[in-house]
Order: sequence, then C-alpha cells, then structure tokens
Amino acid sequence: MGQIEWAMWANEQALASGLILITGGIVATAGQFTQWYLGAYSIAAGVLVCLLEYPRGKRSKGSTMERCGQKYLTRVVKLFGPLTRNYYIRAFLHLGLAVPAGFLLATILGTACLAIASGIYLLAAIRGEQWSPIEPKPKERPQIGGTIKQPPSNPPPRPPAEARKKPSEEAAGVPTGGPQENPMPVNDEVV
Amino acid sequence: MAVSWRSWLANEGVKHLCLLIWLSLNVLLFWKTFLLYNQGPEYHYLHEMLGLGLCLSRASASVLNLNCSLILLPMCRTLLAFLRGSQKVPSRRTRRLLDKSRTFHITCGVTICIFSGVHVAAHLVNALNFSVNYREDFVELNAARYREEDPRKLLFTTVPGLTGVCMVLVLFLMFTASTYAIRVSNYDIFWYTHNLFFVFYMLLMLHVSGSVQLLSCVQLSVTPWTAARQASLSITNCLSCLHHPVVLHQYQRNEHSFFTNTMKRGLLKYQTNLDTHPPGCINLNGTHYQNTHLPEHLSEHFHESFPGGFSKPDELTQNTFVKICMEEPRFQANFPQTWLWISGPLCLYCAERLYRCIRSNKPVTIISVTSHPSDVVEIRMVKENFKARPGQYIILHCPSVSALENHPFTLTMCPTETKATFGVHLKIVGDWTERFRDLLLPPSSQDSEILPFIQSRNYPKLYIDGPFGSPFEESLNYEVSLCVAGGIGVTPFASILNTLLDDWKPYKLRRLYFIWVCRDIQSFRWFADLLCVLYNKFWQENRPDYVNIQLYLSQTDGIQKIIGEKYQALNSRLFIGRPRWKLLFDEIAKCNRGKTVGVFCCGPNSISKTLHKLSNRNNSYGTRFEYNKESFS
Repeated sequence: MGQIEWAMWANEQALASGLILITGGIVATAGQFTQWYLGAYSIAAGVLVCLLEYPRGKRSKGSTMERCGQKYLTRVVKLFGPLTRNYYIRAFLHLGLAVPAGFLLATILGTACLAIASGIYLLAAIRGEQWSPIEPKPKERPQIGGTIKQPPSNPPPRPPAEARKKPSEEAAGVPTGGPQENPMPVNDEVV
Repeated sequence: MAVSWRSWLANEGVKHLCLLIWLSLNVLLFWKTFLLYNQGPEYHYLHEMLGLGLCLSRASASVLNLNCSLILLPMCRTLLAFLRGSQKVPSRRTRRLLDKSRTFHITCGVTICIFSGVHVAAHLVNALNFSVNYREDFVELNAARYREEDPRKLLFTTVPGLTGVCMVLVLFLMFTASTYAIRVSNYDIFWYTHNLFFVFYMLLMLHVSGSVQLLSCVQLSVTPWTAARQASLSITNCLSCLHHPVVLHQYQRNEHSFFTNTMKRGLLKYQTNLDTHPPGCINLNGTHYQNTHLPEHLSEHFHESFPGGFSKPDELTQNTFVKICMEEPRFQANFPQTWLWISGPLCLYCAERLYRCIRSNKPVTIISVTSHPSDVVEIRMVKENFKARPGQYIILHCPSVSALENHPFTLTMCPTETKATFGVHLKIVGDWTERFRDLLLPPSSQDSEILPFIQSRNYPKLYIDGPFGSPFEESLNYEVSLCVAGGIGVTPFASILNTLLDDWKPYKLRRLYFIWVCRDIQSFRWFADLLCVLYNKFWQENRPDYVNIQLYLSQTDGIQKIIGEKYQALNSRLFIGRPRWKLLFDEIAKCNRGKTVGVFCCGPNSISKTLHKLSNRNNSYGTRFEYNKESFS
C-alpha cells in the first residue's frame, strides 16, 4: 500500500465528476427546473474541472500514459505554476466548486462525486505528491553516418572488430602498421 | 491482403455471435419492460402521474438486473478452469469463448454504469413528478407525503433513495479505479476498490426491497415527553413492521395519518383489481379517474367525466362504453425481481470463493530457489493433491511480504505422475517481488546460481491459489501450433515444453513452432537448458521437426553475441533483429497446407496485434490460423 499514487485516481475521479456535473447541469437547464441558474453554474464548473483535470500528471516512478491530445492543455495548465502544481489548492478548489451544485436535485450526484475527488486529492497532497507536466521527448533525429567513427584502414578480408582492436597485445614479431596479419611476408620488390 | 472469411469466421465469429445474443437479450428486456409500463393497464395511474420517467427507469432497471447477474459469472475462475479441462465442453470453439471472459465482464460493467446513469436520471425526474403530481385519489400510489414536497427529501429519506445514492457512489469509486491507466500503474487501487462490489450487492438487495416505513417511522418523535415512549414504540414497530403491517396500522391510526400511506412496501405499485376497476372508469360518487393533468377541482364536476372516446369513434371499443367502477383501485408493490436474478450468481461466486479459500489454506513446501540472469527467480515447490495442466497459472500469497496482496504467476513446470514438483519463474519488477526475493535469497548470495537446500530452513510461508485456466492450454490440442513469446512471456510455453519433454505422444500436437523474442541475450539462459534437452530428445527419437525453435534478439549493440558455449543448437538458431512475421506465416502456411494452425502469443501488445491481423489474412495454401490470446491487466 505504501507506493500507491493517489493523485492519479483523484484525477480520474475529478474528470468523471466534471462530466457528471455537465450532464446534470444540461438536464437542469433544459428541463427548466426551478433554480435553473444553478444548472448553468454547474455546466460552467464542470467544464472548468474537466479542462483542469484533462492533462494527466507524471508518475514519480515509471512511464505515464498520456491522454489523447493532452499536450496542448498541459502547456496551459503549466502556466499557472504553483496554483496547479499543488494538490492542496486543487482539493479546496474542487470542494468549493462542488458546494453550490449541491442545492439542485439534478446536480447533487455531481457534487458528491466531486467532493470524494477533492478528498482523495487532499490525501495525495498530505502524502506530498505534486503535479508535474509530461514533457514531450525531444525527437532523436537519426544522424546519418553518426556511428561511423573512422573508415576502415584495411582492404577486405577484414578480421572481426575484436581482433582489430588488439594490435598492441599481439606477440612481438607482428609487423606494426595495421592489424592485418599477412600469412606470408610481402615485399614490394620485384625480383 | 484480403481478409479471409473462413479465417475471420473461425477467429472472430463465435465471439461476435455471443455478443449479438447478449445485446439482443438486453434490447428485448428493455423494450418489453418499457412497453409494459407505458401501456399496461395495471400501471395506468402510475404512468399518468410519472410519465416517461417511469418507463425509462423500470426498463433500465431490468437491463441492470440482467447485467448485475451476468457480470459475476466470468469471475468464477475455478469453474471456468474446470470447464476448460473437462470433456463436458468438447468443442474447441466453445472453449475459446472462455478466453473472452474478462472482456465480457468489462462489457457488462460498462453497461451497468451507463444504465445506472439512465436509471438515476429517470428516478430523479420521477421524484420531481411524485411531488408535483401528487394525487389525493390514490394516496397509496404516492411516494411523496404531500404536494410539492421537496424531491430531495424523497431521495434521502426513503430506503430506495438512500441506498440508491450510496450505490451510485460505490459504483463511481469502482468505475474510476478500473480504467486502463490505473490498472497499469496502480493495480492496488483497482483491486481494493473492486472488492467493494460486495457492498454494492448488499445495497442492491436493500434497494429493491423498498421498505419505505423503515425510515419514516424514525421521524416520529412528536413532543419531548412522549418522545421516549414513541421512539421506543417506533423502533420496535420498525422491527416488526416488516412482518406485521396490519399491527403497525393499528398503532399508528391515531398518530399521523400520512404514515398509513407508506404501509405497503415498495415505491412503485401496480393495480391489483383490474376487473372490478378498469382504469379510466367513472366512479358514480363523483371522483373522476381520468385526465389527471387537469387540476383537481375541475375534475370533480360530473359533466366532464365522460370519457374522451366519444369524440373519436375509431378508438378502441372500450372507450365508447362508460365504465362504472365497482370499487376503489387497490395497489400492491411488485415482488423484488432482482432478488431472483442475482441470488443465483452471487451464491455461486461466494461458494467458489469459499472453495478457493479452503483449498489454499495449506502452505506449500519450497524445495529450491534459483536466481537467473536478468532479474528472474525460479521457485520449485511441492504441495499435496496439487494437479495442474500445462499453461495454467497460480496466485501466490506470502503473508510475510504483504498481508493483502496476491499476485498471479504462470506455472513453468507442472506436476506429473512421476514428479510432484512444480515451479514458477518470477521477474522482479515491483516492490512485492523485490521484497519476496529478499526473503527467499539473502542479499549476500544473490549472485550465486543455486541455493543449497540446507540453507533454506528459513523460507517464508507461501500459499497458492489455483490453478486457473488460460488459453495456452489449447496449444497441445492443435496439430500444429505457433507459440510466440516476448521476454518473460515465455513462461506458459515453458510448461508446455516441460510436458513435451515428459511425454509427447498422448497429445494431438505434432509440430510446434516456438518463437522467442528477447531484448537481452542473457534472458535466453532461463530456459536454454530445457530447449537443448528437448531438442536432443526429439533428435534421438527421429522427429527433428517436432519443435522448430527460433530465437530473436531484438536489441543489439553491434557486438556479436552467443548464448553460451554449450548451447550450440540455440546459437545456430539465434537471429539478430525483430522477426518478420509475414514471412514466417507464409513459410508455416506453405509447410502445413490445409491444416489448422493454433497461434498463441504471450508478449507485448504490438506483437499481439500484428499476429491477430496476420491470422485473419488469406493465404494461397489453404492453411487456417486460429488466434488465441491471453489478456493481462
């Protein structure tokens, strides 16, 4: 139990509660319930919560799955700095957003779900978790010819790389000037 | 490139047929219940009061009944393992259906979530309509106690309402913790919240019993000096009221009169005396049973009480007659059908959990612990009366490591008639496996290969649950099988290879293509001995083409590698780079014309998807590829 990251679960819950709030708000305003302005408020609150929670934070250990298309929102959320990084602020923000929607019947469930999400965020904040954005990895361009350090110095047939790298450890008597060992002595005089 | 219809039908056909059957069952139930509440005469007055919300809520409730009962069945793993192994399910096609049990569970779960949403929304509208359309004619029918009662009170002070709210919250917790991202990263959260399903089912049983008076009698404290007497009276009444509504009626007759309305159980009632009181009839006392959308005081006038059918001569004949009511309508709540739906699967599941608990009570005896390269530990153990088939998996539980966590591992060696030892290979990835390894192998000797038995006196107590079935058991039942393993995914195939080493003749398998892809050359040493011994055995028995091994090293840094000096048979079968699946499939198709080849994959999703696509493709040799897959997490 010691290594559970609660923030990820709180994030899923908050996103789901945002959607429930939006649905409840639509039902309330479309059905023209009494106090329908609370329905409109709940739609706005739901949209705000969804936008805030859509970019998933980075896990402290291991790789994180990104949500589809979240990099644009990550940039926006990153701009707010400590306001979005700190989970205490998020917990109280969600609690505050949830309360007004609790007075209307259609959005009561959204309130309950968002309140639970805010509680889990509080737990995550107490355990010291923080939101960190998932940075896109810089694309590694394959460099053509980057692995070729040095062109071969001998014509084929060439011995394998291990043999090529050990000229100094060979027994004395091998002619220096290249790893190629000639089976017969070669000289360039024409006799 | 064309999708071969024969292959597609063999691979996907039965699965889609079952999905279609399930879908049509749901649609049928929804439609039938919707029509019943929309048009049935026994719900006529209720429908007038509540409108569309009634039909939607009851129809979605019937779909929820079906899915809540079906969702438990794929989780009875011991039963499924039994079905897989026994001869009671002879057809391979039906056995392959069992591979999809987890997917079916998830489908039912998603359906429950969606229809719960519909059900809750419809009931919220019903609560509103109960308070707005309150009728004094039918006091029994109302859930509200007076006109314009706040619907939120209805929600929170009735048993169905309160249990419903709690169930939605439990479902919310379970659903948000079951997403793929959470399962992959924090499996614990998923596991612990998913065990709340039991709370969900208990709340569901209470929800449909709908004993409304349980809560309303708690509100009965009137004046302080009679409060104590009445409170005690109420509580004893509450306890007995479930059985003796008549008795309660006597007590409460001189108390608040609204209490008598909630005498009967259940919020939604049907009319019992249709023959003596057909809906829409005229009461000669002046009470008008039609057109409830008119204000109440207008409907008292007798001259308006003629049925509207006179103006439309082509309506049903029953409307052209003026019906006289013999008596007041009587209402009764439905028997909670949900109890019938969910009691069977719930009892089956509980029985299975009990059986598993009893079976796993005895700890195993660990024989040896071996440390392999690339963070793999092999454990060999024995247990009394433990039987397993190759390809099955077990769940390990070690209280010294963690009191609550269980982890599944595939058996790499199964007990046979001659040898009762069985074993698992564990890859050390997370904190549980790390702690487990530290308990099994003291840190000083983790570099050495095998721990002698003498030093093993202090092994921790280990309990196993299982064995449970998996699709890989089928690989011995095909004439030709292609087994593809990625990394540690080789474990189910290791048990198959161990079984073939023991005795290959009783099985239908006559040719096995074994492809193993790894990132690190040292990983091949986990089973290099087994592969070489198997290769030699088949060579000696003059069946060299029984097992065709291909090993692939997918990542290389350019230096030539070999597995080990003594594994010459494997070194010559080692390829650098990723396998080329299409060429492989073509070669297998050419060498096995007209046969059915079973394709098994235990590895990363990308390989699995490629193999699935290739299995559905056409080939000119008439070979059929049947794809079998295990889904993890």
